[in-house]
Amino acid sequence: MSVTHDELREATLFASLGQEDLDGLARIATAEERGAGDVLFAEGDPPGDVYVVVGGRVTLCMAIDGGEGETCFLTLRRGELLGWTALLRRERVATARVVQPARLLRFGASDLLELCEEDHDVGYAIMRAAFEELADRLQHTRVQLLDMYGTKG
Amino acid sequence: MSDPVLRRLPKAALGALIARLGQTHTVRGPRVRDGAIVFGEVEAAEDLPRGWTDAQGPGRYRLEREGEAVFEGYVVGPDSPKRAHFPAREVLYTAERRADGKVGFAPVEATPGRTAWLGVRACDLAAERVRGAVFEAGGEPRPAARGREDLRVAVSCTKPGELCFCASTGTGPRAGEGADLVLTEREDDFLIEAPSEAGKAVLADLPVEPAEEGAEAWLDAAMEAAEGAMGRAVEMDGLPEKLLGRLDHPRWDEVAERCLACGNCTSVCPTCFCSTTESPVAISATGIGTVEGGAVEVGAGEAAQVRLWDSCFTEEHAYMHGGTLRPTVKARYRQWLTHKVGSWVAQFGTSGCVGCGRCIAWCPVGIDLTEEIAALREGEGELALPVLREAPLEDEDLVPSVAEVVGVRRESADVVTLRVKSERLAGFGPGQFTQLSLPGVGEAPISISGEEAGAIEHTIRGVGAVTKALCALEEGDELGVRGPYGRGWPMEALEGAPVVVVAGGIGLAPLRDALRKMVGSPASYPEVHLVYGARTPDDVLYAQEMLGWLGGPHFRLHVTVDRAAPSWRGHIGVVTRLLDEESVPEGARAILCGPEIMMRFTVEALGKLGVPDERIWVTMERHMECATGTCGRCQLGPYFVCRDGPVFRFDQVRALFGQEGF
Repeated sequence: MSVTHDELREATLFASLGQEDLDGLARIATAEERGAGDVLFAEGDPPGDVYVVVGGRVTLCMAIDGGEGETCFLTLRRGELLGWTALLRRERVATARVVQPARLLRFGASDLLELCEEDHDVGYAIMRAAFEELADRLQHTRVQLLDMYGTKG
Repeated sequence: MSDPVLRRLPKAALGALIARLGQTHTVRGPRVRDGAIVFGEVEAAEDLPRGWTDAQGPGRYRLEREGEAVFEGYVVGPDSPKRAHFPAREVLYTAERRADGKVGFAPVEATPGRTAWLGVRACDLAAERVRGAVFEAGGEPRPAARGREDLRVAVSCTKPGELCFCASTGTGPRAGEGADLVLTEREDDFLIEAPSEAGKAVLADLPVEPAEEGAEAWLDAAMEAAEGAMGRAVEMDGLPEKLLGRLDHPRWDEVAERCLACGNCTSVCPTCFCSTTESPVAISATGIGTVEGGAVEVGAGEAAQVRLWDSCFTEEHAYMHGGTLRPTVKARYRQWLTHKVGSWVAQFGTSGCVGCGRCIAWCPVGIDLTEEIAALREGEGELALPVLREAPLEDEDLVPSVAEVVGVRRESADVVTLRVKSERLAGFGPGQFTQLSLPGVGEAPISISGEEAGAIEHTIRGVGAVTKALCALEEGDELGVRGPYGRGWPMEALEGAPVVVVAGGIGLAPLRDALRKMVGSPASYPEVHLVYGARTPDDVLYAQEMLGWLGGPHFRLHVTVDRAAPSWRGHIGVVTRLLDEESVPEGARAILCGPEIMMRFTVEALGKLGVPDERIWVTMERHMECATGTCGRCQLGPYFVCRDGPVFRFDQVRALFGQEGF
């Protein structure tokens, strides 16, 4: 499926990029529709592709107690980055599962890194946006860790 | 007669005065006891500490022999009439909880002491007025009732002590207001005047004669000289705003290095009124309720509600949810001083300091509040917060009414909704709270979460001894209720605009009644968004009821949890992630209830979406005990959360929100 500029602009990651840069991204992106229950990748998988959620809802879960139970700790929505550890060539730290039919933009991790290498202005803009998105996510994770609705909240 | 005439009372007639007072009252006056001059029973002039003087300094109080004066050799000791009118330990009511789950409460009346206070000073009289203002504002009649039939035979101080500064607080040294008789000691006699009718009646029976010509002028000059002789002063002008605006002043750190947080200053202060309560059960029919001024008898198995002096220097004073809001000595000293000479003014229309100097003498390390205030005045910053206080509470009653549990619904593993029949709670507003109690267990403030079929609902999470006991109640059991209390949600200010309700955890309970009203009135509330964060899907409260609300086209529900099993199809993540252009429409007003940290992030996110502080209301939570503004516990700067809150418009509390130790 082809990817439009509008869809790319939905991504926080690419929000600051210009027309030309989006052309380059459109060439390496593919769009896909995934149904509820689909697993995009699983905890422990080797690094694969990077995604942006354009619509629907994807949940991140981790196995606890030796894989018998799973706890889900975040749902990703429109515009959010998914599977970013692939850019660091790390294996998957969580399982990504579609819980509401989702439309995703998919990038080969090496394609995206190459694009960033070729034009450092674009690369800087993308990395800065990723940095901001992950900083928010880190802060949110801290608040969740406080267990603020628990008995000490 | 507004102009009392000065008379002379010969020194030899002091005994006649004491005898006359003793005809109708128990005379209590200065006595030497344990190395200090305190109030004790006086039967004859010889009982008074004639020829004693108190050498006072910061952290110092010594009795020494000097001169022949009856009153003039000394000023105030650690004691004051506060202890009689507001006892350090008193039984508010006795209570019983029978095996069949029924309860009963019997008030313990405060009986007038009929004490004649001989030798009280102008600062003591001022302190009684200050205490009067505190308890009157909270509708608490006991302290005033105890003093109602007292006589006050005051002494104007011609020789102020080393630590006195009443001239600067406007509370002395001349005694008048509040006194029945006023004595001024001279070498050979006393000048005596009777500002009250009761005083005049006493005076009529005494061997007095008109004072000599010029006595008035002598007295004026003596008082002026006494004012001039005071070596200490506080400048009260603008102090509340300055202190509140200087919470980060380096002086707080310096004084905290010396302060031991022992609470001596609050024990000797004649106006400190913070209290706590205990709910003991008698294991035998003995004196559980014994208080100064009379024993309260309770039988074995019966309980009592006991009020005790407390101090803002204790760790327990600001205790909430397994921790104290004021863990540091700095925070506690700052709370004490900013309250005493700062927020007290907004709360009660008067400063809490009467210039008696007791806190300086009895501080083991000699901290001098006049020095601290002077140092804090040297600095930058002022903060004026609006006074929110309305009329005093009337006909308030700290004794609970009996209410019956007519239904119990388990909401989640540790949350229960109690349905309670109580006429006392009729007419409550959304966001108000009540005090629920069980004899022998205690009381807890619980928000009202709605009304159905004449029963008031309270959704309670069992975390402490009281809330766990409340959660264990069954249909047909009884409990005690007081209230309703506090300022609720501003339902009128929310009309006509989109409303965003942001709730976290059990914080949905105080919002539920407001939500019900808004869901039921689409004409007044055309667009309502509930943004709700819970710990897990199992902790989501009122799930069935909320699904029912979705039938209305003007209501939108956004729920998220902190963690979930893979079967959960909803949102996971912090509640602020759900705030966007869709859930926060243009022109929205927001009402928030949840943990303070959640509200902090929510206010920030709302601000980014264009909702200003003046259109956000939050519920604050602090350690509450009395719910009437008389226990001093739930202070937030100039506010009592129980009276001025728990709901505040955010711009009114922003400056204090998240302020460490406040």
